[in-house]
Amino acid sequence: MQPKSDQEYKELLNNVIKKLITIFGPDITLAKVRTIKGLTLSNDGTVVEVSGSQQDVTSELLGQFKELSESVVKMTIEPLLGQSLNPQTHSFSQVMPASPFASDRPSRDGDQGGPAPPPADNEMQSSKLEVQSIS
Amino acid sequence: MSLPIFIAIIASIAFGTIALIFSREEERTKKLLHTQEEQEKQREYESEIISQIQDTITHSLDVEQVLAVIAENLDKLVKYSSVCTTDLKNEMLVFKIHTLEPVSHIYINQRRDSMHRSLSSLSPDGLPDTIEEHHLGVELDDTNQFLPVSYFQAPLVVGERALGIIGVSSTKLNAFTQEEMVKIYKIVNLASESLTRLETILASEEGKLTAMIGSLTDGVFMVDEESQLTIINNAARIFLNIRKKDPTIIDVLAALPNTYDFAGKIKRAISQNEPIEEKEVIVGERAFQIFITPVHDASRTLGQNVIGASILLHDISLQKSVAQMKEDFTNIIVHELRSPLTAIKASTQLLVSPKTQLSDEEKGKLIHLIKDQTNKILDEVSLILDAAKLESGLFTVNKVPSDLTKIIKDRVAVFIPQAQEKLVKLVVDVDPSIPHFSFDPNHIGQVINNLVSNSLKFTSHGGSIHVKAKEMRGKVVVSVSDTGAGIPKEKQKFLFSRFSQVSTPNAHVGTGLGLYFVKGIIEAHGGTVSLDSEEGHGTTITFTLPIHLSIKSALTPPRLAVQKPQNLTN
Repeated sequence: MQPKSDQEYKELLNNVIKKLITIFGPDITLAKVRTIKGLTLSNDGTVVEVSGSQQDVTSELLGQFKELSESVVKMTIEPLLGQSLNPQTHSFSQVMPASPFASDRPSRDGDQGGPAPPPADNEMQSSKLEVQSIS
Repeated sequence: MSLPIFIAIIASIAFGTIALIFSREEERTKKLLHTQEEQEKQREYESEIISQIQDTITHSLDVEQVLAVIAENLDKLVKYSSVCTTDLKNEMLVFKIHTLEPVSHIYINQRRDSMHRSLSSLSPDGLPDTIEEHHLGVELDDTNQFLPVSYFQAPLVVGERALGIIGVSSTKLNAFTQEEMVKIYKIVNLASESLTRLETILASEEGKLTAMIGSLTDGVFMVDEESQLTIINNAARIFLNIRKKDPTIIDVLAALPNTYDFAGKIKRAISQNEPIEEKEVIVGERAFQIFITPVHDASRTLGQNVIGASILLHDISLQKSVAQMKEDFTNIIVHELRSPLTAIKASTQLLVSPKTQLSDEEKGKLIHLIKDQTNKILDEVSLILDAAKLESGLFTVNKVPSDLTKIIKDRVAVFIPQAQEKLVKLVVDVDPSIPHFSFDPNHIGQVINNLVSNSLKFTSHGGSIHVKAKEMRGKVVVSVSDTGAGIPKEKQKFLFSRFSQVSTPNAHVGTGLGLYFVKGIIEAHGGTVSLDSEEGHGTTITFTLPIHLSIKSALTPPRLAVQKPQNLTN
């Protein structure tokens, strides 16, 4: 149940962190990720190094976010980690963004801070929304 | 400097230092105590708020309301520029933001989109495209350049569905400590757990309610506030002939008669909180009493608490038929008693009138007529009394060892002249091996009378009537078959009821108590009565009597000689 290499595991973690940032927001996600032993993050929150057991890191990551919402972890992160960690089924073909939360940090121009990655399948495109403003 | 002065200076310095150290230590301790007291107060305050939020959210399944309660109380736990919520409501997303600073529209749009992305990534089936937006709090200022540089959001998950989300943001970088954020997640988790628990309980209760409604023999369907169908039981489907798997209110209303404007009545019951009753509505071949009752939500104490209506269809077809039968019965009884009484009155008037000169023969005829008509009245009255006894459970049979074969033959023989007159063949086929056994000979005689009499009434010229009796596995089976008009299927189920009449244009009708009485007598013996009839082909009524052999009758040797069916009319 181990990924093929450290690089693949780092990519997986960055993918997971990106998802967590989308769900919970960057402040709490990065605060939680920074407390995980064995993970070294860059200033922008990208995982640059994983030391120690991948199993322990994964387990601590899940534990930290279960404290925020066990249901969300079960619904979104566990399947992602479970599927990706399975060498029989996992394919690491997806290209990861340079920073996991680059697209979620706000900018004056809207939500397009930094080089934006392609949105996740079920992510909303704001242009699709029909907004009825009621003040 | 002298030594004493030096010592005094040193001592002063030492004491001063010690005093300073103690003073500082005391100050530090005081500060520490103060901090601890403050923290304790803060914890108590937080507990109180959490408890307040929990009290509110424990009893509500309204996600919007739960999120609002949490949002309203967050300013006591954390400093923020805005708090916002998004939830699903009626196929639409509702985004609400409360600002404490004069932020810009761009700020609000970023918060809305971020919340939407979060909820969207938790909703595998996607989200509605339409979003309703509400802004409360400090007026917006588009010249304000500040953006939500710090933010976090907590999804509200019920069961395994994200039904809403609450987000907190600030224009200041790193505005929230991890401790503060975790605290808010804990509150939202408490709300999620309460809602999940409540939803499970409601689902279980709904299951019980559905099963209960499903098992009702009355037709029931329910609609919500918008008059949309929420549940319909099997009986209602049958009554309204609805075969669709998932019917709508349109299907239901289409099955009900237009003349009653049920759509309008259901709306009125809901809007005016007023029960409505329709005493008789004909749907197809059935008659219904229909009750439209507003359904209340007991948890809503303010404003409109009607959340829909239940519609009950009570089948009154049987009661209606019985009422009709009773009315007919009264008319028949009056007719049945009036005719002989009129004959008696007329005969008596002739006999007592001084003006009429009657011969002895004529007088004798009139007296016989009076006697016959009086007997007829007595027979009818006895039948009515016996029927009343049957109804009240006071009817008894007097069982004595008797000869059924003889009783059948004697009773059938009475009808020979009538059968000959109508050219109806009357055949008796009785198994000679039937032993003497205990039964009430008078009442069983009346049963034979009644069945043969009925058959004669409904059998036309050239037809035939067969009376058969045989022993079969500890009981005697007697049947009276005719080649008469037969009984329509829809009338067969009422045939053994009180006041039931089967009339044909040519046949004389009686009180209608005959077959009710037959059934009562046979059942009082522990036997059964059954009917086999086809319209236009004739009728067979079969009854059984259990054989309880007395010692004496058991010793009676069976008549083993084989007898041929006896045609009594040729």
